[in-house]
Amino acid sequence: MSAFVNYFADDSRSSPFNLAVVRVLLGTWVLWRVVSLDWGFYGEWPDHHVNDPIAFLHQDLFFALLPYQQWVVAALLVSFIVGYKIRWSGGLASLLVMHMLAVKSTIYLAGTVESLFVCAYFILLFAFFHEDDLLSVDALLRTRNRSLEQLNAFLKEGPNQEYRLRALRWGLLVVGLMYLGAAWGKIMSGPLEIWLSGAELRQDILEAQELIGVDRPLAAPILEVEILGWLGFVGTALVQLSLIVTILLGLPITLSALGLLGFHTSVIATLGLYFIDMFLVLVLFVAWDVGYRKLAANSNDATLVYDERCAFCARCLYPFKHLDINRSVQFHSQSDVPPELATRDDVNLDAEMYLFRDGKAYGGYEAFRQLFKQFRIFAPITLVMALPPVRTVGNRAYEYLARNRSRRFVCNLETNQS
Amino acid sequence: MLDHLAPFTEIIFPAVYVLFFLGTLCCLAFAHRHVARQVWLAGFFTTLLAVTLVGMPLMPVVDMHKFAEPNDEERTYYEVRIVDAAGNELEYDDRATPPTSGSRTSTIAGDMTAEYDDDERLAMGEFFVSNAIEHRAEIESGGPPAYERLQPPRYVDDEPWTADELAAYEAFEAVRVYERTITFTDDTTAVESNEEQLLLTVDVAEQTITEHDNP
Repeated sequence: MSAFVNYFADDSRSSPFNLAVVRVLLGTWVLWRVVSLDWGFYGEWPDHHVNDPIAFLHQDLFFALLPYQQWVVAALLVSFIVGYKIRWSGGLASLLVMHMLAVKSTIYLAGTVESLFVCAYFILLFAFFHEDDLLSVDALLRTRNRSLEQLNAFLKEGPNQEYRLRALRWGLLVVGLMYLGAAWGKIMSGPLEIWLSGAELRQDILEAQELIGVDRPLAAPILEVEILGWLGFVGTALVQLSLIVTILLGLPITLSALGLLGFHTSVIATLGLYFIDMFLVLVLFVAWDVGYRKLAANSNDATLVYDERCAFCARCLYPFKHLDINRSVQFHSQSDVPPELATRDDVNLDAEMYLFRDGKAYGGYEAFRQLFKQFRIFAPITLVMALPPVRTVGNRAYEYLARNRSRRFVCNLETNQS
Repeated sequence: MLDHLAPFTEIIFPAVYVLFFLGTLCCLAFAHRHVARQVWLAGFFTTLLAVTLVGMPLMPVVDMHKFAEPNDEERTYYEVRIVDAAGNELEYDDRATPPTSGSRTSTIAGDMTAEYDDDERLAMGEFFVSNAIEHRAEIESGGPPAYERLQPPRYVDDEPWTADELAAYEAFEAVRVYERTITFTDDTTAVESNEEQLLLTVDVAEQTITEHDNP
């Protein structure tokens, strides 16, 4: 099993988990970056200091709007992170971020800005392939269009499908081309001997030491051992080129990705915190679902019994079914509940939802808490849900919903099918 | 080919920029149609590939040709120093003027000595001095607000000004631009020399520009 996934070779997985992880990681990272930057200041730079080819973007109006756009983007990104209206929240956030970065680039186009452009392309790809993202608010809302029969069948029989993650397929190609550019730039600017000699790298290190005054842990060995300078260039060029080659040939990308992470780590240890955003970009292709599957593998099987006449209940359970990649939860309704559970004295299956595990029965709010617990990644949520005040509020909320589910939440078969 | 295109970049760059945004919005609106996605993907990846091969960003599509230009055997760097009323100098803290860091400040400083006219030099000098004064005031009043510590780290981790360091300085009044030339030993394992020359003083308080002659 590979640690990184070549989505370009095959963009289907047995779970939509990776897409949700990437959306949250990517959205949160860009949100952090966008909120942290001092957009209001950029307009104060004197006008004659502009990068020429994009001088048309150096407009007072664009700079004046930046601090407001920052918060519009923040709001859109929050919506994107939770997966609400991904096509437009992601699409507009991405376009606005690109425009803001382009305006900023009229002052200074640094590697940090270019890395954020890459993140913005990713978000745009999510917007284009928004319907692939099934662990999102959008997907939950789309369950309104499904009949109660379809929802029940889904919960009981499972998705029986491969999930496509096309945003990651094209995103990987973007990253491959970016690294191709990094290697190609050196070949194009040549001559190759200057790079192969390692002299350029050693000069970069010495210049950085001289100007910034910081000694890096990897700087001294590279300066002292000549072959390390050569290895630094050849190794960098190899890992940068290998990514696009492995992507296009459909080979595993794990070695290339690890090589690139090693390259970025050595840059930090040699020159400073350059390209740290690329760590995030690369980890987006980690096989998160493999780790998640292992994390949840030791959970004892559970049986959940819910009200099959309640569309609201079925819709609430819908994301859990997608998350259950180990099929560790069997979903049943009152009509097909196993006899040994139906005849238990300590449960009233008509009154509330139940989760059975290891011979124990958990009802109502506690059933929900135990359902979260089943997936382990929600351990912090289950801890919070166990706090007495939260439990009290949760119990009351559950009781209210259960009492009113046929009245307020479109819960009978006839209503839903009409 | 790029040379042939050069006279038209004033039209091509804005046109591509506007077309990218309009085209993307249209494709997004029809994203449920397979063809809209295919068109966008084809357009985007063609542009990205071209930009990658040529090594020139075509906003909003960028390349990452970083550290791709081989340097001369000696490296020249322009350094901005802030000057107080007593004539004491302090290397400029780029945190006063985001988003630049050392290399960009060096480019600006180089332009100040060679490209800008006196009005532009004075405007840039005033910009540097006024923001240095503000940045200093923030440091002396206890530093930036606590939430700013949650910001991503700067990629150039040079030493910031400190209140103790600033206590030795009087009011900031001018900036000076130095040219520093670094040469390396033949085996490039050490710095052979690091020489500096004062090229320019922009005295904001006196509104004067002084170009310094060097031997």
